[in-house]
Amino acid sequence: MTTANTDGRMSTLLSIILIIVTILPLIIFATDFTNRAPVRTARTAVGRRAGAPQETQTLRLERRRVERAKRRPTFGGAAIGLVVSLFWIGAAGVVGRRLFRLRL
Amino acid sequence: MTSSRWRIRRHAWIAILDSILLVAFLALSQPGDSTGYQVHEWIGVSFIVLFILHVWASWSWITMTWRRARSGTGPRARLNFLLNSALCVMMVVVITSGLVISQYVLPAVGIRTDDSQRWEQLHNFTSSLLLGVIGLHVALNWSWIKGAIRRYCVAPVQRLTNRAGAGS
Repeated sequence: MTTANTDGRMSTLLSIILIIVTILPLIIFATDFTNRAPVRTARTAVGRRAGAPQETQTLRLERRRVERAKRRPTFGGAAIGLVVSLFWIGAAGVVGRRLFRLRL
Repeated sequence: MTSSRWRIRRHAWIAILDSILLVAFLALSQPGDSTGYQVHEWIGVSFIVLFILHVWASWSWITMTWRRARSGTGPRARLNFLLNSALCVMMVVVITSGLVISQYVLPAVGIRTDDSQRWEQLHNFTSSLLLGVIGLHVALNWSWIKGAIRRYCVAPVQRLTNRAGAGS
């Protein structure tokens, strides 16, 4: 297999991946997939098995709002967050550079 | 001012803008741990301005790549254009959904927002995927980034150490 062929295939593969990651969240949003009855039932069942509190959507949103308001950023949390984000950006960068040979 | 001097200044401004954009993005990517949600929203609003400036500063490159991708000069040009288009679409989705679920900034100026789980999921899921696409965008522009680091960070430090060495 020639380098040009491999290059072409990797470009096609990356193009497909890019189209999927762009469109997938929009499709899930448009179809409201994660809030459909079977998915919600499955989620509730998993939650019940894990011992999570059973609550309505309104109660859950209210609880999350209160939790968020209480949450205070810490230096350690910020540092870990920064490292995690940089790690993912770096990993994607290395994959893009090595595997897909991204160049200007 | 001569054209080459203007170009150098423009290059420096773009490098500064992109660095701020990266720092802002990193701060935005872990809202609970690094900034808290109120600051997250204010940084997010500033990010919109930075993002528009970034697109505006790269406009000549965008039109050139678009022309190249349309003329069919090869899969590379099309891929570069597709990558940046995907990034732009995802950025618009994240910004729009972020504004829709805003709980501090927009309500503070009297605009009612929607706190539905659906919009929040769209915001969170797209921003998680965005992290990877930003990595690919960095990979694509890596030579430019390396050049800018060398020019604005490494070279001035070298000049300073050389001057200090010559002085002692």
